[in-house]
Amino acid sequence: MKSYRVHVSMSKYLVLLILSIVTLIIEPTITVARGGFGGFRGGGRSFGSSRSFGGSRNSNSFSSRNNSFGGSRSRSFMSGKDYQQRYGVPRKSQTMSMNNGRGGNSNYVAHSYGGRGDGFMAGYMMGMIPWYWHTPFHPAFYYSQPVILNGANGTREVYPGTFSTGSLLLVLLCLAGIIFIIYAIIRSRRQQDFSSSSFG
Amino acid sequence: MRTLSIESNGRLDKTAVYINAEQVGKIKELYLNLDENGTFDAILTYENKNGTISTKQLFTDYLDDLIIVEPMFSEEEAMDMQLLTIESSGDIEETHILMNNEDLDGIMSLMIHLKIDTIRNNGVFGFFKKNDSLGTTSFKAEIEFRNQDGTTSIEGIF
Repeated sequence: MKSYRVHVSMSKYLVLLILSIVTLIIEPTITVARGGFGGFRGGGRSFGSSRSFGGSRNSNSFSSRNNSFGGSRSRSFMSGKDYQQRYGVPRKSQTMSMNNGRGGNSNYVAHSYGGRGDGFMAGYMMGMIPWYWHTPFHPAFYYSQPVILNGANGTREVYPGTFSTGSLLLVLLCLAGIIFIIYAIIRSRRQQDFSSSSFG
Repeated sequence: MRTLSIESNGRLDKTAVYINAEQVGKIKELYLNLDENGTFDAILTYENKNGTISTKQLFTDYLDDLIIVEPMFSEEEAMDMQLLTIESSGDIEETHILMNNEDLDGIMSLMIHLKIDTIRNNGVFGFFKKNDSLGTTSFKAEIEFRNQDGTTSIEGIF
């Protein structure tokens, strides 16, 4: 009876621990879907996914998008000027040509601000990013994805992602939850069981 | 004569108290202070069957409505425990002490104080609940012996 009670108690804590870990794992997905700046155009990734680079073109991609009319405007950048008004003039702008996955090349103007987001921007522009960039154990997780905007002359301007405080807070909350559950398990184990003792 | 036995490994949650060979439950405090000069304090505070707390002289008072429980330890578990037995009428001159069923002699004094406070298990959320019954849980059990060379030594019982 006593061992059954202990088993049930431990199971309760284990379920909580597993839930926290699952939350930590799926949290990157939530963050990616949100985007660092409140969502990108089209609501999906610009780099590193099958939507823009690589793979086959999805003819129904437009039909699945939300209607542009109605509702309130999301905080997306309409042009490079919008971005620069918010984050200032880039330190360096570099033109580069990248394979667009359809047999051609696309020209990009990558704007650097000298922050860590620049390094991650290059990674995203390579087309594929390592899986661990989506985990909280890599700094890229705490940065939004680069912003791609249509520039003049058919070029596309790429601005680096910015630090996402929300991601950091979510991860800290998850970590705190896991630490709390582990501490509670240790604490409950230390607690003495007087159920069969003469004292109680 | 009443027989008190305490079987323990030194932890209060692993302590069984027997009175006349029956294990008693819901004990709140057990205090024994005996010495060769005639001091004989033996007090038991327990919860009786009605749920009220009683404090009695262990060897002389009538212990009404004691809660008798099933034996805590199996024979195998009991092998790892220390068993102290006190047979007494309430007078130090008529007190006989055994340790693991072997007579003890040369005892100058014996002090046992076992006390439990109400412990509430609130689980994970116990952190956020106010515990209004904080106190001290006590486990003290010592015997002072007079050695053959005239020196004295204090030894823990369990």
